Amino acid sequence: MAGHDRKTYFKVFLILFVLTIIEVIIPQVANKYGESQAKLHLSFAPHWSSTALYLLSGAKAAYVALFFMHLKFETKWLKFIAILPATAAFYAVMLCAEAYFRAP
Amino acid sequence: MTQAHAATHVSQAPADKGLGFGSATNGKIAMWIFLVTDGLTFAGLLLGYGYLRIKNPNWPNPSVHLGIVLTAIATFILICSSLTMVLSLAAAEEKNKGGMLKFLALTALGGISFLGIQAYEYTHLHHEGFSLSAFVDPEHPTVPFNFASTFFVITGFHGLHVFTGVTYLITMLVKGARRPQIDAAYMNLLEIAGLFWHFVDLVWILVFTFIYLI
Repeated sequence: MAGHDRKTYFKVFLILFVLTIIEVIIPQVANKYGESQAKLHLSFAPHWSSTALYLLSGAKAAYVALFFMHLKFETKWLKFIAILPATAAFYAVMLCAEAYFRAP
Repeated sequence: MTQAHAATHVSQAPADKGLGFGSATNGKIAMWIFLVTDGLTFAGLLLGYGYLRIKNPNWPNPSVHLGIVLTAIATFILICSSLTMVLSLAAAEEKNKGGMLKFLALTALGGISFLGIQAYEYTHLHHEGFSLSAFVDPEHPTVPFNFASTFFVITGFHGLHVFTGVTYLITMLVKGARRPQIDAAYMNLLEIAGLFWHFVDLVWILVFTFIYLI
């Protein structure tokens, strides 16, 4: 059965571990060298740190879903059903864009 | 696959029912559908949190109040438990009952450790004045109480899922230990339990990022 070998699992685990380390370092760098503490409440505004964190956490979630939950090897239908909660991201983008538009 | 292996495999493998789900069992499909509804619930909570946070200019920097490093360790433990879960399933497929039980126990242990760290963090925050409905930071009196309530509601809801998951895993552990040998039916149940556990990990990856890091 494809994708059931331990090598894949350990590779994915290593990727998750490295991405987690990077994710924890990013806000520390942003706090130190980026904008002031006061402005961070608008972290949903386009900024390199929040954008990077969204992408990294999205990638981690995708790795868990595709490999640990074996979604990569399931049928298209099951993949489609599983991806539905990601539509919330669409609403989130609309929310942030509108709020940022009103008060940049 | 040898003839003998193919004979036993065919009798155990679920048939493709022609519904578009391949050889996925009914139980697996049902768990996925449940996980989608659960995911939508978490999405609703996170959207609400996002809205409250954007609209409030006095929202603090989370790293000032929350224990980032400790929670990062908890996140790592949960990711490890996802690995042990998948290794447990791999052992089950090799009919290695001892290995399967060992990794399943390690997974449950990971979940319990995560809950322990959360409990410690909650107690610590409570000493600083965090509660479900109130929080006053003496240094920054304009910090909204929502910061505390959204924190507890979202991480608490997730924590309940971890607790449920640990109970689920221990049930599977007892069930598996009592079976004389691992059969396809049990492997299917183990895979379904694994789906729930990975979902708990997946949600935490997102919650940790949105509440602690961003």
